Amino acid sequence: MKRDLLAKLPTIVLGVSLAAFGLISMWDAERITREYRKPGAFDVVGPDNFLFYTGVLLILSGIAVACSAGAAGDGAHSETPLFPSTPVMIFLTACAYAAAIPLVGYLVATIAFFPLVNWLLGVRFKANMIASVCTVTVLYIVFDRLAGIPFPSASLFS
Amino acid sequence: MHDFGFIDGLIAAFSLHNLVYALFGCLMGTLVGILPGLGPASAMAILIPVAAYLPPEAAVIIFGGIYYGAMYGGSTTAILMNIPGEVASSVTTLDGYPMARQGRAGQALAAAAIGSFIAGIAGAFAVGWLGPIVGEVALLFGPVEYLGLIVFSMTAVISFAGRSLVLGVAMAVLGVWLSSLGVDPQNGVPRLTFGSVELRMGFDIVPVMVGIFGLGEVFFNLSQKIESTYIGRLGAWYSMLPRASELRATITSGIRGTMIGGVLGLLPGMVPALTAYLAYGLEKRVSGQPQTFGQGRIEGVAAPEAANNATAMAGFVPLLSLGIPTSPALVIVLGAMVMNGVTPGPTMFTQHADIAYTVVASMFLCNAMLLVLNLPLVGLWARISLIPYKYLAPIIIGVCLIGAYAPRNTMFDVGIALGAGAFGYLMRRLDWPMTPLLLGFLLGPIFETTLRQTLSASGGSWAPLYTHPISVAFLLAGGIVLVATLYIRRSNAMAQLIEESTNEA
Repeated sequence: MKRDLLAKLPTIVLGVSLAAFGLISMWDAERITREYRKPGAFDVVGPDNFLFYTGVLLILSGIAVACSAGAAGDGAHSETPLFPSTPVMIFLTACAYAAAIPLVGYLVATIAFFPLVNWLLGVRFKANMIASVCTVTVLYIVFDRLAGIPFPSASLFS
Repeated sequence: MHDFGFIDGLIAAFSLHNLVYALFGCLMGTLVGILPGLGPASAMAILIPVAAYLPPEAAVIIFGGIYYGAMYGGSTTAILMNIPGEVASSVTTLDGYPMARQGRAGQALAAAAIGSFIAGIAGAFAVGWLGPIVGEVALLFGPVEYLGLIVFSMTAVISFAGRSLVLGVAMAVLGVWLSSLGVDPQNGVPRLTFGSVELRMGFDIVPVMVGIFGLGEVFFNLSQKIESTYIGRLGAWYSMLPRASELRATITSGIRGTMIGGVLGLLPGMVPALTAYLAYGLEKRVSGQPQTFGQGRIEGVAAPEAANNATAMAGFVPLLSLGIPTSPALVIVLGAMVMNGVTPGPTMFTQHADIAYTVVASMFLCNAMLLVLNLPLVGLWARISLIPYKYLAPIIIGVCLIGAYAPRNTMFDVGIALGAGAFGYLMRRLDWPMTPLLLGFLLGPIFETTLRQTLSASGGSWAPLYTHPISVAFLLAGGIVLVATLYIRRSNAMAQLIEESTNEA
């Protein structure tokens, strides 16, 4: 029974989240009505009513989703845990990389990122270095030099 | 003034730079089809930043090459390793792998390539012929008709969305809600911004797509183990070609598969894997010897491959003529075109005839290239499929994050991509349907605009929806599709294919 509940939990959380978004939507719609709706300002529907009824649909969908959890056979029946360590670590590393770019600059952050990710994925040292150097070089040349993408400047060094 | 037509498009498609783009797209598509864990939508999402710097027809040529290239490439590992590179090729394993075990891998690969080629050429003709006709009809559409079309599209997509209609509807509503965040398109009123400057910009389609299809797919693949073993010796490519009766069977079953995939592929949400399955079922019935299928029948390879490629091609008709994407990959093609300032729709074949006909002409070109690429180089592709995913994953992540940053040069979009990536991972792991979410997000603004215009014109009455004949026809069509898919879901095999296809990127 505990296993069943764990399998249904993600879908229930999704349903509750959708309902919560719906409530937020209705609250913001009421704010727009209060602050902006004046005679002739909006069409028949207006941005407030569209948001309000989308919120209603979200709440109804959320309740339906939460109630249907487990009915059709949730996908969370795999033997692999829902949050295995490898993708979680890679995700956290990618988040740290994104946070580091504005601080230390794109090049420095990227030079740190690729060897770390390759190491987390179990790539051997020599292959890691070769792959990282090649990848960083190609990405830097293609996106920074050729495409001229204006990456954030390194705020720590400026 | 000379009207840009198909011949002009053919000349433009054969220009050196467009030939290079077509070749690049076909190579990428075949590679994507070969590699389990990387789908056409993921590959396109990764290449979105490149598309931003290319002319619009170049982006569509590349992405089109990737899309149908993946259909060609997916059959290689399906036949040689019993691992479909794409869900659309999973039916091909039923007879393709037995053929490989019988030492007829070459004939199976050739049958898949020939079937795909027949479908590709027929599909290109259909797009070039039907596209302008559909566009002309669509010029008669007003807000009411467009509203009916969008409701039909959403209904069809939700109906084909995985294992649960409830989840499909919920995802579509979530997509529409996410698209409403930011500034209201008609009055400029901030919605769900909570005073934040970044949230006023709203969510851009690029980081959302890159996150869900690129990053989410990487995280998902890292949580799985993909084993592959390459079997079968392949001789010279010309020895692979089927002869006499096998060649006849390949061509006739390829034509039947093309017709099924082409007609059904016009429907929003119709997935190539399902048309492949239906084409396979037809071949079993037509053969008179259904018990021989699953043991190495060449028709069991040619027909599904033709059907899946025809479905991929047919999706370009509603995309170019109506601006309605019928699959996740075409959502990205639409996004790439909009990024380049071209909005597909009824005037695509008139006001943007140069782009439209160049794209159509390049479809012929790409299909010819793919036939050449997939036969002589099949041994090379089979070996490439053995590259461990751990070498590709970091590159994909790096390119995705740049891709999220590039359109608006803000780290906020990178954060959106990472969040979308986490959600995309959950969607893949838990079999929550992605397509309704994407389509709701993309069509949400148009849906809101047409709804508000319709109700404004009628003073708040819903009557126009059921009094305008075209709108009524779309709503009825949506109802028919919904009922038909409820019937289809009674087959476990078809329900499984729908579920896997909708969650494949």
